Amino acid sequence: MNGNSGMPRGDFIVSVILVVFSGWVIHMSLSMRRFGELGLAASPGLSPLVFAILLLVCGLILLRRSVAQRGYRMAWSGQKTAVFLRAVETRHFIVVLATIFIYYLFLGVVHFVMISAVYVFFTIWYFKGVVWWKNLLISTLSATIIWYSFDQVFLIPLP
Amino acid sequence: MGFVYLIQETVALLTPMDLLYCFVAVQLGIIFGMLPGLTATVGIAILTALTFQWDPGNAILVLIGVYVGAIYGGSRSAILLNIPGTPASAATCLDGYPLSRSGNAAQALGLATTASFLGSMAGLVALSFLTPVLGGFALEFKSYEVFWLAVFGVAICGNLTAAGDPVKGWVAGLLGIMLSFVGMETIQGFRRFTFGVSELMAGFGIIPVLVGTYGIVEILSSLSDTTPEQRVPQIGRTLPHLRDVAANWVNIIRSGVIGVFTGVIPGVGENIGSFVAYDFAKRASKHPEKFGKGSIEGLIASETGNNAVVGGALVPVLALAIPGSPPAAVLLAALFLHNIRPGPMLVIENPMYMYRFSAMFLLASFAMFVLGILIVKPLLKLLMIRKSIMMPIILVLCMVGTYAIAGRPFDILVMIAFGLLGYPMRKLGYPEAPFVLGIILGPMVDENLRRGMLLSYGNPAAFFVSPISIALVIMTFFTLFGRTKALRSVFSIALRPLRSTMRSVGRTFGLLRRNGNSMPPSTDDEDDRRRRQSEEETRL
Repeated sequence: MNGNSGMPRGDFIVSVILVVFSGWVIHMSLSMRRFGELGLAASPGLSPLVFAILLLVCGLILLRRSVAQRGYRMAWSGQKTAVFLRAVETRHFIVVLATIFIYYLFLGVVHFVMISAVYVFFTIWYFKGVVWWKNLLISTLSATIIWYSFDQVFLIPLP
Repeated sequence: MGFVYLIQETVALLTPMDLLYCFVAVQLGIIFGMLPGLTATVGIAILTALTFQWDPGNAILVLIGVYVGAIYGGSRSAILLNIPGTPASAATCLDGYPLSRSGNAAQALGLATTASFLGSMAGLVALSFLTPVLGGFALEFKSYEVFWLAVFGVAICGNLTAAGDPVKGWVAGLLGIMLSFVGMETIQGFRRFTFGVSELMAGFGIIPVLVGTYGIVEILSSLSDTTPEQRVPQIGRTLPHLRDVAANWVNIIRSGVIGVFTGVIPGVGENIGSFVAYDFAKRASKHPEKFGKGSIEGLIASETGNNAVVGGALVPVLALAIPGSPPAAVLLAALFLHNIRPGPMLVIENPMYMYRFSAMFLLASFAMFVLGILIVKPLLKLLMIRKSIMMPIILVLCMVGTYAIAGRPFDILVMIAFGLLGYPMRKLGYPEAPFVLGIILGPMVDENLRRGMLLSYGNPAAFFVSPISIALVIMTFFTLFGRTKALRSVFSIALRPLRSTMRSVGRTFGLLRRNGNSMPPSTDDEDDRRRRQSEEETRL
């Protein structure tokens, strides 16, 4: 209960989100339809209500702890944001996420083998995995093998 | 009779096709386990989705094989690269890597294989003979007891997986439970938190959630990580020396028992089992100073411990439908997907299934031992594959697996969404295990809470009446508040007379170091010592 995670700012933000979220769930649970004479005891909102209260308590514990560690002191500055955005890790994360989303959007629109091969090729190329011709071989072969194994051998429908 | 049934079911599985499935699955599991970034849970989640349309017998055999193989496979990269392939092998790094650095990589790999096999055998004993006992006991459970059992499972999982900050573990568990409430509930058919989205009527599918929480998070973490990858050392003969194994028989039995019992606790898992076994081995060792510097005892303890957890974790899966570890949680979901209903009724409805399940586990353990000893060098080349090549291919498999369950693109979106939720959770120290356990146990919690309330005409006191309920409430209470100062001081006073008895029992079973003063002094002993010292100083 007295844990110290060493990230008071993160804890502060999460605790505020938890308090707001659990408050919203409590409100939604109380406004759910009630059946029969038992009222709330038979309502579909009973379980969400009970667990939202417990989450609210946990959120308040986190909030109290992070406030005690001055986690509410947010020192935002343009320079820090720029450094964060320019960091290799952030850039990699954004690129990976964006490619996953693009891959998802084109699934079912373009043939599975083609879009999968393009996705694998682009990711390996971006992270400088291997030389381009090896990359082309790996991406085409992997996409084809996956398609053939699942669509043709196991008869699992692919997007 | 249990032993006879186990043999019968094992013999029935000895067909060429079943053996082929088993060996291929175990080998795949070893590959999943040894590749950093791919855990047993990710492996089982992907394979559950990919084997969804198979015959249930073959599909479950494959999943058990992947589970057993992956937990063992993690030791490869732990020993050779000092990177645990799975979290279960984190304790193996401590002594496995120093052994490898000192030129004993092959010996370490051989011992890890043997210890893993012996740990699996301890798990098998528990799985075959503890499951029917626990299953029979579970027949006494009604709505009230099942509700408390699920709550206790999430609470203890949160406590143990976020040991430094249990509140975060509980938050993760509670969030999981709350997300499981999305969709149409089972008692009155009411739609909760669906916001008119028809795809949400059935709630979040367990496979998209699992693949997202483990697979997508791992892909995002691995590809964002800028740490340079390591080179694999050369190795020689991996067959272990029998004298090393024989000299550690007490260590192996102790670690096996610890692993099994850690596994039985809901949601705790292999990583904790291996660390607890390692800690006990260190306390009992004649050479505790060697631990962390290449101790064979330490390596054997951690590997026996983590593989014993596998069998232990499957006991509550079959008997109570509550998973003992995150990979077991996925396996439980797979059983449900294949219309196999584990839980208290399994003993009545399909009493032989637990022996069939145990036979699959036995076969997978043998396959692990054979493959672990024979196929070493070719597999080490896989460790040289860069993450930038491996991860995009894994993502394609995640997409295929998630889509294959229901053929809905919406499930892929759910998978990505849970990956996006899981990534900051991991970065901020919120463990995935209680989150997933919460999602799996959420419907059980909801149904039994409300059914219990209906049965008792809205009287919540009914949840605190039966002896099993009371025991579970007390256990949950101490799990949640056992660390608070007030309770600890009360305990300290109440348990003082018992402490000396426990210490002598501990010495008898070799749980304390031989020099007699290895156990960390308790707070009371420390206080007494300080008081005596202060009195001494005053007198002087």
